[in-house]
Amino acid sequence: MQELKGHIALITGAGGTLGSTHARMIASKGAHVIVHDIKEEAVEAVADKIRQDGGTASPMVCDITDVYAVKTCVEKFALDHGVISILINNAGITGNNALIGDIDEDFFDQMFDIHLKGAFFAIQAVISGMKAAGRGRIVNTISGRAHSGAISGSHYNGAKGAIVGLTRALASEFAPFGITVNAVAPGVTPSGMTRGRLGESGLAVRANQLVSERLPTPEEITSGVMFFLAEEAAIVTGRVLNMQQPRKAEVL
Amino acid sequence: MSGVFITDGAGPLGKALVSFFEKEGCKVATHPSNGNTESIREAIAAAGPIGLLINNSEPEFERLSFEQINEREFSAMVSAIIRTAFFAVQAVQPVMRILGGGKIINISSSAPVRGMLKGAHYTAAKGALYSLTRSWAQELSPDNIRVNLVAADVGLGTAAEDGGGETPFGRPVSFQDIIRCVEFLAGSGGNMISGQEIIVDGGFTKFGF
Repeated sequence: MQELKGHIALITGAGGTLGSTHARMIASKGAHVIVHDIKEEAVEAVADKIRQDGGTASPMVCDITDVYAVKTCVEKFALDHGVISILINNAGITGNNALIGDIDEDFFDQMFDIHLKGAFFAIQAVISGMKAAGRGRIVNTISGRAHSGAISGSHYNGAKGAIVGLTRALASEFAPFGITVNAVAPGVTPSGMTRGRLGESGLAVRANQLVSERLPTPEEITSGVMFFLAEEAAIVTGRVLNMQQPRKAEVL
Repeated sequence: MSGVFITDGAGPLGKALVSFFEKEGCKVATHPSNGNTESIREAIAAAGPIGLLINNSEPEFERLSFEQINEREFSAMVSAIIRTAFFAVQAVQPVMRILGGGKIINISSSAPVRGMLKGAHYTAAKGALYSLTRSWAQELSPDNIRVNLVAADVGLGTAAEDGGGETPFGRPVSFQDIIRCVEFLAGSGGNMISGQEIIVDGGFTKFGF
């Protein structure tokens, strides 16, 4: 199945667990994938894996908060290879269970810069190409926490909530151009980031809070992203696919 | 009610809120929604007991298409709306904890729910308040602090061509309509309400075509 053949997809933060899973799945459907991350080794490893699997990939190593660097990388790529038609805004960091009293200005800025500013200006970098091509798919990554709140990490949750607003605004603005803007909201998924924040025992606790008693796999989250990329999903825009599972505590 | 702290007290809605709570006999202090964390901390420390924090922010902005919004305009919006609210809550939490509780009301917009043309930075920043409301409601509940959101329509108090004015009831939403909702949540009616959002738009957001 090569349903994404002819597309060029940029996945930000693709060195991590979810991003690399998205990148590999999108490449397996025939798209050329630009593997972005700030960590060069991770980018190379993911790009190599995609090539070994028979796909094609290009590296993009830059700081997502550096608006000029992102713009320059995207423009250079477009000159050499063509227009990016799929953007997956996935780059992110953990809120590290911080309580509001412990979040200083630097941590606040870092959180909003990476998630909100990063997504905002990555979209700005690709949008003229998508508009000219008359097609485009943008999928933002938020979090179940943006919907349900949490007892900590409010800067993380706030940044994700801002991306919900952004998704909604841009869906309206880009609708005349054949470009959709949506978001997936994963619940806790085993990854490098969640292992670092919660540990294996913490992940087991989270699994046990769910009625299903299991966490999703990264591939199951990728399936949500893939839904928005389908040709048939052309009219689905401005929506958030909440992939949180029912929790035992919320069920009456 | 003890003291009320209102950000952007000089904005059109802010002024109306200040005037309402002063008439109610509350001690009202204000601060511009400028994201200046140090001065917000100082203002909250100087305000004395604060039982109600209203995170209001009414930044004036040019209706720019997405491609026209530059880094400076983006950052100014984040600073006015999100940073001001975030660090006001951070500063007020210990004050309310000592008082045995309090209420926080975030004033947002219906834009993150309805979508908005030419205002992506504004919509994103107001959208953050929805998630922050749910998070703070949980995190601050041990301190007996309720956190809710009241959304006003964009263009509130202005003409219909700016997106305000249209409601199913044939009249625009007024500042008084917003203030009545704030009054309800701030009063005993809001004692078991937290993490909620109320969009004061005459029903528009929940109605179909």
